[in-house]
Amino acid sequence: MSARPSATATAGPSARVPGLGRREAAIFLSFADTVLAPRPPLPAVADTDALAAFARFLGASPGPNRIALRAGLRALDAGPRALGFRRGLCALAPERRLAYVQRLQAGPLAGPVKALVGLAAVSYYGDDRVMGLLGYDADARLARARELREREGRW
Amino acid sequence: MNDTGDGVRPTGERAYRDGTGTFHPPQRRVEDGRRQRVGRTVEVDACVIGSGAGGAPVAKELAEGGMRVAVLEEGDWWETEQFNARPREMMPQLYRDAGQVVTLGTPPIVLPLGRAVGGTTVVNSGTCFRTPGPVLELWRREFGLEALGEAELEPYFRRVERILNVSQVPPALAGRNAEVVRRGAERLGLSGDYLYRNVRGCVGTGVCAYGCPTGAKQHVGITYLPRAWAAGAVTYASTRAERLDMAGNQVRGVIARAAGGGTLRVRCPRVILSCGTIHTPLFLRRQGIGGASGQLARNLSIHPATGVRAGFDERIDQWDGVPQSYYVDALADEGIMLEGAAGPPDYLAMSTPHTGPEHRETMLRARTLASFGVMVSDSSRGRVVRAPGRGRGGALVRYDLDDADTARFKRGIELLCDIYWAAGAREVVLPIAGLPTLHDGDSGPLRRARVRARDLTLMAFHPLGTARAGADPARAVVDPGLAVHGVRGLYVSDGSVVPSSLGVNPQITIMALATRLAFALLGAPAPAGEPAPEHMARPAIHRAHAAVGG
Ligand SMILES: Cc1cc2nc3c(=O)[nH]c(=O)nc-3n(C[C@H](O)[C@H](O)[C@H](O)COP(=O)(O)OP(=O)(O)OC[C@H]3O[C@@H](n4cnc5c(N)ncnc54)[C@H](O)[C@@H]3O)c2cc1C
Ligand code: SF4
Repeated sequence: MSARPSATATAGPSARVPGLGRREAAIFLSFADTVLAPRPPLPAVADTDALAAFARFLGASPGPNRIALRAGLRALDAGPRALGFRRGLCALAPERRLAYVQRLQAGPLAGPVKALVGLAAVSYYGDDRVMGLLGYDADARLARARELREREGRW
Repeated sequence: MNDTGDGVRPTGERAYRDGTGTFHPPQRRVEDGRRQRVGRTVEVDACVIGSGAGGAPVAKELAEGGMRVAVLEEGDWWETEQFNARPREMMPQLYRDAGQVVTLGTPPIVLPLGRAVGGTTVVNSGTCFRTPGPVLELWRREFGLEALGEAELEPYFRRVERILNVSQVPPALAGRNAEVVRRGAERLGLSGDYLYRNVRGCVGTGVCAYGCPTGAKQHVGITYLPRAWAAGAVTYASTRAERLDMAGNQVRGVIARAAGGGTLRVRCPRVILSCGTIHTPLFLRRQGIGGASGQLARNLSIHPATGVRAGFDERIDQWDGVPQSYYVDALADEGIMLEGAAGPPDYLAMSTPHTGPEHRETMLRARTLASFGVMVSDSSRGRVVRAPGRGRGGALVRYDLDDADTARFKRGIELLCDIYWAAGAREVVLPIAGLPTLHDGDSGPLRRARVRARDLTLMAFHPLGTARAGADPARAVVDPGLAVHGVRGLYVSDGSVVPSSLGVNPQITIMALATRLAFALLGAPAPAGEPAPEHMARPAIHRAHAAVGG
């Protein structure tokens, strides 16, 4: 009845995902890269399906949240200029980006930034490959579950 | 079924692990609202709005008692095989507003609510406690709920627990996350125990809050509703009740909107409202009903909670085993319970308090991190209002944590730190802004800190009280029989009627009250012959907490 979540391709920096503009996608990738700072063995954010997952979250969010989250992304990009960093988020060097986000976290926008960090984190760490690197294998659990359901006539 | 025949129901390891004996109805009577594009009318004896902990048991008992029953549920029907053990994928689908319901106030608190056939029980952790005796006594004293004593409720609890196969988590399935906390608590001589849960054949897959993929968790969508269907009830999934049809102060039916666009009219002389604590009061308010006491949509308690992480030198893999399997009740009389709060890496990442390289380093140590929760029986109270611009379903929840509850959090977190140190933790990550990660057994920075409500990172899973029950129509929204004061044929059966915070997880309380309501509507005496559980959780709660805020 309800659609099963579809497997999604990874997204390069200029990828398009439904529900998110190209610019917003780039800001999300830059923001996620800043706040999660993945380094090997963890893959880059753009090499995972984090962007598509984030877009799905947006799609399932109530209208006002969706608008606020998208506006929040754009404001994140515009914000550094207002704080004297001279460039937008995406154009800043990685250390400067982190300094900027941490400044936001210490100010009155801490709440919304925390929400975006949480969404970026769940979007990235929910990628199957990333979860696998940390020792979690969803498919193995599902195989066991299927076997139990069939053997014991469970729902 | 699982009754030993001598009137005692097993609640030990065998009962917990046995996955056989699932009830399947001859016919699944679920209608998919997404396919309903045209108007239709049905006539029944009772219409239940909402299919969660409060709604499903009423539907089942009324249908088995001979009534024709319709259940309306806004959320979708989910097959167990659709649950994919991936929190990131399941959360936007099984939770209302993709899990983004957040209270307004200090601090903002994430308040997840389920939205599916089975309600929040589809995504809950499965922990089962009866209503503590002192809480029932408080209700009697404060709200005139004379008939809700422990003895009076006993047959209803037994019945609910039998249907849900409530049994105790065996240590081998509790996971290493619980094991370290049990070890620490035992070293400190603190009382605690393995939790009792509604499962049948649980294997510790670790994703209860995202839909149990093994079908072990006995949520009401696969326990109560199938029994209701077998007795003729129909569940209208993806169908949202919009308003009541009234003739004066007598209910005549419900008008609902199916997701496919069609209108469903239900003609019936009685309606049971079970939309949950956040949405039931708004539904009543839209109708201009239930407001006479001035208490509708107020008195919201939520059991605010937080998670505390600890790093160990040993492998924990907190996603292996039952995520909520153990509790420590050493401070239960102060309104503080510690309960397991584990999950897969994406769940963990979402609530990791750091940013940048620190976030990464924490996550790279995920396999050695333990997570446990501190839950507070709150004296703070909030309220619910309609969200402007969100159509009929939008709710805003207003809630500020008071000083007493803030102090409870500090005390509970301190105790959990002691437990972690006693268990051998290297570091403890606090959910408190401005405080550093603690190292080497030193809780000094936490003990010395002045913790303010706004510093805490909180979630809440147990909203209660917004249509509270009570004998005095001037102080309560529903009467002791759960009928809305002053309206004929309208009842409330969900968390909203529970008049105070409980200090324990509420699903069994809600289900027992729902069962009692159904028996009363059928004019039947309390169920006789229900087997006594071999054992049941006995948290050390000797006194109740505030009935009203402050
Ligand atoms: C993550 C999580 C873990 C939890 N763990 C535990 C636990 O371990 N033990 C425990 O005791 N409790 C737990 N709880 C809480 C427990 O599940 C709830 O207290 C309980 O399910 C509430 O029952 P209810 O009937 O009030 O509401 P719900 O179970 O939420 O059911 C309400 C239903 O009504 C539907 N609805 C609302 N409005 C309408 C409408 N207009 N038309 C049609 N349908 C409508 C909703 O979609 C929903 O499905 C947990 C909760 C969460 C979120
Ligand atoms: S631990 Fe796994 S098998 Fe057990 S109830 Fe939770 S999800 Fe189901």
